Amino acid sequence: MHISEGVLKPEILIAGAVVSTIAVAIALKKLKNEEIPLVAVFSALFFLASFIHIPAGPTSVHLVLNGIIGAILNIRVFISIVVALLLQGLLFGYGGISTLGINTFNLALPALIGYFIFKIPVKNDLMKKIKYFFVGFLPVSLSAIFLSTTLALNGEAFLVAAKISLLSHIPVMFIEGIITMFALIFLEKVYPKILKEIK
Amino acid sequence: MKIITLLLICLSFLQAHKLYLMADDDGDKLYVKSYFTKSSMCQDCKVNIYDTNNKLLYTQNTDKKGRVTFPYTHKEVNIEVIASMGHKNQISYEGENEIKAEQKVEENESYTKILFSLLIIFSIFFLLKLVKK
Repeated sequence: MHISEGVLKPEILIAGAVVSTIAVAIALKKLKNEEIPLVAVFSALFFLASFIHIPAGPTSVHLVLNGIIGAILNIRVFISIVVALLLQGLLFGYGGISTLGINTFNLALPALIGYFIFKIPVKNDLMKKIKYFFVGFLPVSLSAIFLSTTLALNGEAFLVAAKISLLSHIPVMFIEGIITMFALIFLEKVYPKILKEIK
Repeated sequence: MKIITLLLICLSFLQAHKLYLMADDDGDKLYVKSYFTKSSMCQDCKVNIYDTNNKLLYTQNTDKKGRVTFPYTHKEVNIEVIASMGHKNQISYEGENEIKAEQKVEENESYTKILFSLLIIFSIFFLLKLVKK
């Protein structure tokens, strides 16, 4: 999911940086003091998820967990993700500094979708589980589509990479859907307050 | 005919005194075994381990079972065994396994970086909390 330095055209980098900066600024304005620990914990969770690798044919992909983070944090997910991506870029070479904006956009905006799916009212237990599955599945799918589109917009030479990046994330979409479903069911039972804290 | 038979018998004795040398590794240790025959181990024989530039890395004597263990720090080494009465053998050994010590150092460095990063994440949010106050 992380696009490395020196790959993308300046126009894409600038556009991503501008949109992400605005979103992070709005998120910082909305952020309350008492919400900061929760945002910090999910930033750490997002950071660690990148180290859990899933083999996908000739390559390997990693967990993202942007769906569940977005479901709980709402727009504040931009702050969580940008901090985690910054450190991944600086210390591990995952992504980069110039690509921070576009990477944040590709990961955090779909996470917001996770929040809106989470807020959909449902009638019964089965529908709730399906909803929770999609809280994990859809944001990752969208992130993979955004990533693929970003690469495709970069030029014809990246079309193959765009297709591979989309296809290789298909297993992650389903795994994340399942993990998110179980995680949200668990949180609902043991710590329901966390699902209602941020509005 | 008698001379040929006698010569063959003498040759077989020479074979019996040939010094065999075997080596294996598990990524962590290099195992060396030396023997004359399957029932005659090379006991208390000197084993030298050299790197590819013939620099002596380790030296140790075999035990009663003709075995000796060394740290596995180089993938390609030359192993020399020197027994009594001038018996000697040497082989070039290339390990199949990656050196675990190097892998461990890389893993440890990775874990350290992860912990350091988590510390920085929480520090950033702690500073943000102070600013927001």
